[in-house]
Amino acid sequence: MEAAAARPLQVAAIGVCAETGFWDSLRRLKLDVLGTDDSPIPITGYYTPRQYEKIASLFRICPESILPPSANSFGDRNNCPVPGTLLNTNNMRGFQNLDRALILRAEAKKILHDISSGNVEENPSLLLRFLVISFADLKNWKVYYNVAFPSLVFDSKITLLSLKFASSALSQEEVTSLSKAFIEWRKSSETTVVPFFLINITQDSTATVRHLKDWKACQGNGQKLLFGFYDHGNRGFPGWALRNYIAFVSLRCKIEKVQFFCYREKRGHPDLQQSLIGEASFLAPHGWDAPDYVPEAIGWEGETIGKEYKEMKPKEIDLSSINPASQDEEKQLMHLKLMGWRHFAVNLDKLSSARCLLLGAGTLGCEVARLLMTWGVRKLTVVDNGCVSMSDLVKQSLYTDKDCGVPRVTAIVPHLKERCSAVEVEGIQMEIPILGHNISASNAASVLDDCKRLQTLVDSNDVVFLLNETRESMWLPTLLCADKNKIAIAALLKYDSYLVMRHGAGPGIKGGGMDEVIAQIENLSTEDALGRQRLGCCFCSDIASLVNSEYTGTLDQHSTVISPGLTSVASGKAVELFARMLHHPDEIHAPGDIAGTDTEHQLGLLPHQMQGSLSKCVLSTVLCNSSSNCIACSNAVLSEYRRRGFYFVMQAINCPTHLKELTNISDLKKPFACSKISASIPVNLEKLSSARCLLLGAGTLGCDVARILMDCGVRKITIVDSGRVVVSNLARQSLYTSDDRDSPKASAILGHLKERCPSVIAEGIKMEIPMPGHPVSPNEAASVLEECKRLQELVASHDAIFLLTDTRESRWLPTLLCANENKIAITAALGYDSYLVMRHGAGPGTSRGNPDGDAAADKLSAEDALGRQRLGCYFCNDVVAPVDSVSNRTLDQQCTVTRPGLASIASGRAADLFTRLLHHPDGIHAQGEIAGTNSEGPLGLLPHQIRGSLSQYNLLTLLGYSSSNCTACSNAVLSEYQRRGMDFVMQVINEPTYLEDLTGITDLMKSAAYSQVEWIDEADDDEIDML
Amino acid sequence: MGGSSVRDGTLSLGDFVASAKALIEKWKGIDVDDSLPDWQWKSFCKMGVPSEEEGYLALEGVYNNHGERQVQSSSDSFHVYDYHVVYSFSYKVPVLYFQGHQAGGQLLTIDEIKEDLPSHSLKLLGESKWTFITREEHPHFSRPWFILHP
Repeated sequence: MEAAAARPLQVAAIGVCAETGFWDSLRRLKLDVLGTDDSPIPITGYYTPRQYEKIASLFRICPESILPPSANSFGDRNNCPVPGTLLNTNNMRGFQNLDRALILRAEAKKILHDISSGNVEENPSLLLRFLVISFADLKNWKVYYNVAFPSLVFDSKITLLSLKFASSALSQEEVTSLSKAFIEWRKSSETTVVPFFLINITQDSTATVRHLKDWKACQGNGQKLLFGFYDHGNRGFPGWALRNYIAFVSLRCKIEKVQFFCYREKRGHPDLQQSLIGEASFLAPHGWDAPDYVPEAIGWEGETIGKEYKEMKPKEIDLSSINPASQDEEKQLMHLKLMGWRHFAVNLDKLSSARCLLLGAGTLGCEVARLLMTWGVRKLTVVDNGCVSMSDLVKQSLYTDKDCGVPRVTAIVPHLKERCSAVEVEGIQMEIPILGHNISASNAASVLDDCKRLQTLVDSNDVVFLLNETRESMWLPTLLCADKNKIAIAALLKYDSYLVMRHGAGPGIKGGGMDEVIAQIENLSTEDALGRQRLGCCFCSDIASLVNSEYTGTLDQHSTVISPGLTSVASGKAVELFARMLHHPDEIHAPGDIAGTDTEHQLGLLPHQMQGSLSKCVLSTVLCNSSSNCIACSNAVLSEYRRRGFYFVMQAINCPTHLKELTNISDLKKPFACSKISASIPVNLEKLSSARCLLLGAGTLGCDVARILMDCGVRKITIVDSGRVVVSNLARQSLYTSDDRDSPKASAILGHLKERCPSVIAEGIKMEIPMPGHPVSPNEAASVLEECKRLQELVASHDAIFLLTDTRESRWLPTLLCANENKIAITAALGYDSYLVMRHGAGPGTSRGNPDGDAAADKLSAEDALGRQRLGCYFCNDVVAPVDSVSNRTLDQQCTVTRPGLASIASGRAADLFTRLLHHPDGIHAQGEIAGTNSEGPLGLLPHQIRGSLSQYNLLTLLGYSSSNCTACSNAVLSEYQRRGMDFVMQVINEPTYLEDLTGITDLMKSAAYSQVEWIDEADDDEIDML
Repeated sequence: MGGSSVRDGTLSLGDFVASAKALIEKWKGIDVDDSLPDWQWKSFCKMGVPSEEEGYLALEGVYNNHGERQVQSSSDSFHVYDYHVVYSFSYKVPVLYFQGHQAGGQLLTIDEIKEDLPSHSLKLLGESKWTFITREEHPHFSRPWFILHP
């Protein structure tokens, strides 16, 4: 390879191997630690001289690379650590919009700084500094990335004067001596990782390899001086590293000609046959010394001159192959981890190891079990004695028609597993001994067995959920939990009211030198183990009827008739209470909070009891301490139980009056009195079953709303969704199972509705809802237009439309269409821990006296058809047009991270609001009511908007009227739509700001901005005055 | 592997470590194909502290130009394999763990690995799908690697 003549220097680019393991580590780091933080991360790459004759060595980015450089000691002869920077963006758009040229120059500037400051002499690998930009798509387990080795660009070209193989450029003696020197250099663990060095060859052919920082000493001593570096390449070009090396030589040594040595290896030995020796000349670059000089740079992998950086194709890595087994579980837990990005770090270990005992696998049991899984609970034991019956299917969310006649505890196990394969469920079929049921001699043994079994179960679990339908059956578990100091959460439903509470801790013992065993019985303290007043249990506040209620109650009470949706609301609250308690530092001993007070705890308030009513739209938190007369948790009962064990239990079951004597109850108070409305409300089933409901969205809300609507009696349901079922949906979206993976939601949901209610007429439509701010390319325009028309037909052919999608902009077109067609529209929207459920107002009426068709369009009345003021829609309070709210956001925002259980609550409210609206004589024109006012409606209060917050325990009913600036339901928008039809819609989809001009928001904003500026000026003046 | 011969074909941990180290030395002496690196002994780290005894034998970064051996290989056309020989306490024998990735870093699937296998191994794989190559968790990393069934 004899160089014929001087020519421009060409170098071989460095190939990068960014291992899947590295990206997987990044994925974890992003999810668990970094969250929304997208600032640059220092990483380490690994460089090596060429090792095999035929293949250029790759630059490795491996799992160790992600460790902070200060804590990363990895490195060996074939892994020379090189500092690098990783820029991982939060979304694809951010990745695409990165100014690649600019960040490359910024990195090159660092190299330049390291050269001129002398850092390179101390740590030569700084010359190889690299840059990685990436977008780790955590949701789809993919990574898109590009790598660059920034290289300073000289003003004038570097000229290669000669280039030879080392063996031919050196004498035999020199080769032998140099090989020996290299072996020494490569042997020492300190020098072997240094990729840049000096080679000194004396007159008598003795070669030495020296540190780069010795360049001054080696210069001008008459000996041959070569600037050596590890060369990754295998061909007749020097490697990429030479470019910055020359920049170093030029700037530091101030010479314009250099002899360089490209060091290559073969099987761990110096390969002087293939190593290169060359000479290059270059002109000193101008202006590089200036402190604020930003150099030109090149170095993106795969970069081609003259092409725009934006056209650079990102490399792609699929992470799903790395660990298929744990992937499903990780996907299911991702939404919990995402909660930690902005809100609250969920203790997944604690949740997954908590053993939960569910007493009851009915309506509440199903819902609570499923929501617990959504919270990441993985150990469940379910106790029940019943079988699935046909009439349960619409109420008890997990069972399907195949389960009829099967014991619930048997049926529930596969249904939980098919939503989350990692969950461990045990179903135990047994009767929970009930207070006041006479025990005959024949069944005494089996009742005693059940008592003992229940005791064992309570002992071996951490949390007990009391979801059995009668209060009598809660007595024994309550007693057992108080005895063992276990967390107990009870949910009680009655027609349309619910009570969800946590039981207080068991009693501590008074101090005073007694034997532990005796003290446990004789010396119970009125306080708990932490010396706090004990909170009450569900028997504390009403010492009530110990009498067997099953025989005295009416049929309604017996079969626990409850309003549809109530279960969802109550189970959502129960599970929320559980999660909060588990995260509270004092757990079971945590004092009860009252709504409206401040809390320092990140998860929000931790109340003792919550009482709520669907029909009155109220929610209250109650705090009540343990009563000394309580028949289940008072010290008298507990010490009697500890003294006499199951003899006492059996006696109490047989003859509850014994408990009265024990606790000195003299008079009987009224039982839990939430329900004052009689259970015989006229529900117009015919109206419900004939109502045609259109559900937009078949996700978390869609599933729950569809199910609850069926429970209400709705039988005609159409569902629109464009997505497919993925594994992370299974725990949250109540209807899907693992068999549905990858099938479209719109079709998968139909089967699940049918298997719960064979008479339902359901239709699924796989369709994207056109959204403003998501511009349409000309070749998509036809299909989007088709979708707009289809949606318009769907709205026209249904009676009620539920807006259950998860972005703001997807609600715009349906809102507009509903207002135009005067259809009932119900929106349910979720935030992180708050929800909004509202009904949109009626569409505008037309002004009287303009009967002829076209003119009517321009004469929309400010009132509705009944001449009442129109209620507002979802967009009425907005001051900007709906735009693309997804692409620029971080993953937790894109996925709408919400607290598990929130969707259940919102869905329950939405379905309930709908049934009430349907029963109102004015229907869509009904006026909005505010909680606390008296209501005339047969089903209770009919509010316009309901806003609830999980962390603050508020429930607000709001009333807002339609705004004349509304981007969806104002007359300006509606008449434009009536005039121009879908042309108008398509225009808005492409440029939403058009809406702002149309509705006058633009002008409004201008005046607002103007006044704001004035206000800021004033504020500034004030500050100056004060100073 | 190594020199120790035991009647039932099993090997103690001590024997494994000794013969592994012997192999490393011997390997250096023999002239093998240029594309093979040296075997290395890697200690099993517990809480960041390398263990004195426990470890595994590693042959990392073996290049495989699948199919024909082209000298001018573009960077994506070859596969890189890592081989680890780890002592299995349950079988009392050394077990070969391996994984391959494309030059760019993407892990290889079993189908892609198949293409790199010599034809007689491929035949064996076809006959007994689950007893020849399976995927199991690597004892020293918490990730599944392919193993040759012992």
